[in-house]
Amino acid sequence: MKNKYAKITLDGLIFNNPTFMLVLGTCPTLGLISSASSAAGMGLTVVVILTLSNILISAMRKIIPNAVRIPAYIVIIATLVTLARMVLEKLVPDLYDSLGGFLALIVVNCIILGRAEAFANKHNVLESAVDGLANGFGFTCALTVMGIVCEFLGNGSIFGLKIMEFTIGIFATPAGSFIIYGLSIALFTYIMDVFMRSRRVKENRLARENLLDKNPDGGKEVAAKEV
Amino acid sequence: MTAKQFFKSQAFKCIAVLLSILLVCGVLLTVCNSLFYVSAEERRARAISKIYGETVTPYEKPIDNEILVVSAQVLEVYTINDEEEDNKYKDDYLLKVKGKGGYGGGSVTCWIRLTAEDGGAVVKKIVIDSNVGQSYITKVTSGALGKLIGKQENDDFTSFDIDGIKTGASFSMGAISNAANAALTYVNAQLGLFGKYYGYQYNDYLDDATTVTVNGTTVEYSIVTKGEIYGKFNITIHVAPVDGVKKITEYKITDYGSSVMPDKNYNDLMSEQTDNLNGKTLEDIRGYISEDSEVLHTGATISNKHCYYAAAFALANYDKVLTENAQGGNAQ
Repeated sequence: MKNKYAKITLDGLIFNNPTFMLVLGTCPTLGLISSASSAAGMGLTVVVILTLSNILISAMRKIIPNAVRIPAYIVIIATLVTLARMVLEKLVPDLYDSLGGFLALIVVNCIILGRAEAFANKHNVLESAVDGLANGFGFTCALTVMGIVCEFLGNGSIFGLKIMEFTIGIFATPAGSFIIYGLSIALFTYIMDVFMRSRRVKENRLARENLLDKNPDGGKEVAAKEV
Repeated sequence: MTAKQFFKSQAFKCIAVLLSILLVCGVLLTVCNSLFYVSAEERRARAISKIYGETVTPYEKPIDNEILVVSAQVLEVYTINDEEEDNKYKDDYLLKVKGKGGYGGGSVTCWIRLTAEDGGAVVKKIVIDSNVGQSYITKVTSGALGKLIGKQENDDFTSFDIDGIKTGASFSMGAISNAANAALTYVNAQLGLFGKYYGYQYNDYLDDATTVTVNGTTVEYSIVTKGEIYGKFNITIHVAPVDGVKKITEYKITDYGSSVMPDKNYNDLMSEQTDNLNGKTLEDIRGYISEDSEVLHTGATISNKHCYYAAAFALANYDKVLTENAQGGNAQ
């Protein structure tokens, strides 16, 4: 049971990271990562909306007919996004201003509709909530890390704090964000590849050792037969 | 299909579920909208608190529509803490200005705090209030806005020459720059530091009571000259293109500023052309007011200067007035 939630969490955060592995939510990623605080703000907003939409859709999965599930999901997600806009405008106006038009575009964010379709309508409420949180934080971490890099290179600052005067203008633009996004995907994929390979090698070695432990003469017998 | 069959069908279930979801969402949004609605007063209070960092009392002032501002519109004007005896913000002006010329013809509305100093108004703080169609407005960071702090009207800045600023949102920054320039022009005019025709050519002898109206391709000036030494001249001048050349189509002195002279009839001393400059071009007038011209020196030099400069002002600023009128600034 515990293993199941750990798997859902690790999938959302790392192994099926929506930004680096599934390449979803590209529009806000490219539009907002030139500023670390905007990127983090967008990520956290997505966490809330994604978790709530997953919970609601999972709870209503047996009520919503299959034929109208997509329009129903869109209505639910659009309502949550509108609510998030109202709350942010009232309580966190600076974040609301910094997100600009991208806030409304969360309605059509592939991650949210994707998780609703791929996960929430097949799993119970708790699992769906964990999936929403994991994917949301996976998205947030990816955006924030890329935001820090872009802001540092493009504006010489991190979270608005000036670090250096030297800047490379292109990294303050979506073109620069695109370059950083591509390089981040390459780096993340490489690290995952190395990790998965080492894990496979370790699993194979363990399996062989287990086999030898169960049958200490097995190896010699095989060698004899081959001869 | 009978009614009973319809109500048991999958189609009915689909419609009912969708309508139910819509109803619940609609009710929820209506309730939340009433809870989280941000009123204009709240927006204003937020902007002011962001600008001053403390609680201040703004006093709204009527907008002087006679003051011409270019590519922007002054929406609201405030002074701060008027009723406090020891008011540290007594020289402050707070303006809400809609800067035009943003991306795709959009605009950016800003709150701009200015302080009246010896050399004129100075920009102290800018906060963006709202925008129309500026999707890259988030790229205009506080650092970029900071480049406008300390600017004065005679700095003559535009978005493209503010200390090599690069935001990635040049058009939006241009609209903000227009708003800042307009705020400076407005406050300087209010302070009387610069005439409302500051930036216009041949405004040397012009009183702020002068008005300009555009009527098709004809610009109609009702000029009031400065009452230097003697009285003010009132002159009606119409300028329009005639055969492709801008000419004065009507020049009429309605009130002679110098007619009060007791010992001489100054009307007789004024240049013969002054009474009727109809058909004259800017080149003609420049010839009359050039240093080596004798036309002005008739014994009524100052009166002549006022009247010829009024004609030069009308001809030289014809295009500027039309442009401002087209851009929809306060100039009308």
